Amino acid sequence: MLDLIKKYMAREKGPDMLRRPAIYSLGQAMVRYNLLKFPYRATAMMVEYGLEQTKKVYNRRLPFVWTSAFFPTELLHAMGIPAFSPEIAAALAASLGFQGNFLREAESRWWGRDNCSFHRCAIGGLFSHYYPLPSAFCASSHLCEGAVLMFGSLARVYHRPFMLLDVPVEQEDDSLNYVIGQLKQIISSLEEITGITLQNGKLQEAVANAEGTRRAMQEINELRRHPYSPLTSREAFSYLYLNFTGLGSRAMLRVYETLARELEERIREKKTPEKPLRFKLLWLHLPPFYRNNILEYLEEKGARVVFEEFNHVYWGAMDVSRPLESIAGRMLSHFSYGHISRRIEIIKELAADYNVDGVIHFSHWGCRQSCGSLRMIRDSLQKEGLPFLVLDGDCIDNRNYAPGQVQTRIDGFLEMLA
Amino acid sequence: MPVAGVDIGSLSTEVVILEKGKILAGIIVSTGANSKVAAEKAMQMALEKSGLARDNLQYIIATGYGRVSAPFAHEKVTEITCHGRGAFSLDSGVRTVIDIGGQDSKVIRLNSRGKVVDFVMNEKCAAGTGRFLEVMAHALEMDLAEMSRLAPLARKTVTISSMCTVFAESEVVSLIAEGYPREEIVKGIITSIVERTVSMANRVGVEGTLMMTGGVAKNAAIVKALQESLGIKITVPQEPQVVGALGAALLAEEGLEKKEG
Ligand SMILES: Nc1ncnc2c1ncn2[C@@H]1O[C@H](COP(=O)(O)OP(=O)(O)OP(=O)(O)O)[C@@H](O)[C@H]1O
Ligand code: SF4
Ligand SMILES: [Mg+2]
Repeated sequence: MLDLIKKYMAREKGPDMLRRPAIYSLGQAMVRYNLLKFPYRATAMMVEYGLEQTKKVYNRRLPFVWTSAFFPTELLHAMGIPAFSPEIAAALAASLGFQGNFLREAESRWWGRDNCSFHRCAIGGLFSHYYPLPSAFCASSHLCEGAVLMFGSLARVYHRPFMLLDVPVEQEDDSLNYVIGQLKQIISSLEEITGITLQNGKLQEAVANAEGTRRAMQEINELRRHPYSPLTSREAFSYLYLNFTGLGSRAMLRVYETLARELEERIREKKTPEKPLRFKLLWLHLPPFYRNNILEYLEEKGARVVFEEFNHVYWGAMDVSRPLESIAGRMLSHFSYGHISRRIEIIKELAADYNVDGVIHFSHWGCRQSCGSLRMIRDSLQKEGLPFLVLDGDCIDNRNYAPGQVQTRIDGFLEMLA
Repeated sequence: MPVAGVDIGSLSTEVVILEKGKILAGIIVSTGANSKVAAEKAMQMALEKSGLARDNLQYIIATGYGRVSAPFAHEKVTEITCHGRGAFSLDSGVRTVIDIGGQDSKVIRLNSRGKVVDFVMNEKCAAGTGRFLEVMAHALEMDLAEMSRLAPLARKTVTISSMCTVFAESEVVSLIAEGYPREEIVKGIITSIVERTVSMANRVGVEGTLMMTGGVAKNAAIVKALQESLGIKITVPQEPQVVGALGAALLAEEGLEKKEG
């Protein structure tokens, strides 16, 4: 399938192909008839769902929105508005090897190379008509300020509405109500823009899905602590798409419930990693999405990333009878937002829960929120006696990727752990 | 039971042959275009010097960027571990090692048992490394020894603002054209390397004895400026360039002991 797309992209047909919903139907059929190989049934389900959603955003008659990574998608699923995540689109482009053209397109229009490449790539994709122009741009202010600026700017360029959910940094008594008020406003703006009205009970349904998903995620995370857990980090990272766009959907709930069952089964059958693990590692922030073998190289050396920071379930139980309050509460509870001590506490907690031997932070060029406080993270981990490796790099832009240099740092780190 | 350590760096390749902790031979050759050829050559020279045959070597560890494609190595270990190990063997008070080579610079922290506990490496380019110095020396039409000699004569420092080797070179060329005294430009070049190295050292934190290894440790002007900037004395071993190969050889001895149980 990927080869197929690549072949089409290689010819000039590329952009046209991508925008043709039929290609996604074809992909769906291939998944359904098991013509593609996936490590888990859950993965196949996710891909099918992803293709379905993508087909919708390329169907020019239906409204859809661009959402930033941390925007509450429960609202959209309640209303049946598809979400397009530019960060995921960039990751996908990188994994297919298309990112170069998009990045150059954005750069030639003065989007500087110090901007996060997830965004630079998405902008290039939009400018060159690969990515679809949405009915509105929806961003939340927490964590990623780059998305806010980019969405705001694109909204002006394309004369589309820009919706910003302002999540306060400092939590005060009225923070929750402040966010709830905005959620209500966003819902009514979305209704106005798309002509879709939020039906009674739909928000509750979305929150129930989100709550079920939360529990399934917790179950998966718990299963991953098992020494026989077969889920590799590369596989875990492939679910990023759902984490960014799926919360509140029935599909995400089903995928994660399926994954939990499958993991449980495989652990029970002891389909273990063949090689004994020398080291267990915790991964902070994201890995590169272009062709690279970093995670595989670690596995080859007997070191496995047993958990990733981004898979941590940071929010508490969601109350279906109070949907907006639950969503607002989730927004306010992100551990990386606010004082750095929150993130550090969670990192330490995860390191202990997963009994890791070391922590790797992939410092993605241009990401202020994740790289801004490395010194403090390092100092705290060192106090716990936990070795810490900072890998500088870029998740999307591979122009500076030097495999040999990354390998030396990883080798040196593993020698240090030995 | 003789063993060997081979350090295949971007500019130089070293071989150290060791028997019961005693150095039988230490060889430095330049790496040139083909690292395998350089490694073979250095090994041959070291064997001749120690009067041994290849078969006498019981265990060989390769390090340096060329380690991955090293011929004849039983094991590959990074420069980080090898420089740490080599430096600690020369002085057990060493807790911090600064290795500046041709294309990499790194600061390594050791614990009281000589084990690496932290390290940082320069990012991806030649700025602040030996190669940078060589390019600048070339632009100034002098050799490294002359650079070292000139630096103390400077009464002022000309700031070199470019980090990139290519830009810094053209900056140096235009400074020469503008008529700045060469010693002041030299001082500026040294300052730029020192500043980079100091910020790396501060990242891991300097403690205990600080030893400098790698070819740039032979550059007296750099060592002196680093010392002044860090405010502590820097120990430079007699032959800093072979410390990586020495560390590899020591690890080879340990590896052999383990193998023989
Ligand atoms: N006699 C000397 N005087 C001054 N500087 C020297 C001398 N000999 C070597 N150097 C410096 O040392 C540098 C090479 O260092 P070294 O041999 O440690 O590099 P390497 O190990 O090949 O490189 P890397 O470790 O980065 O791959 C040269 O670029 C030069 O600046
Ligand atoms: S990597 Fe950082 S800057 Fe880029 S999209 Fe993610 S959060 Fe935003
Ligand atoms: Mg070296």
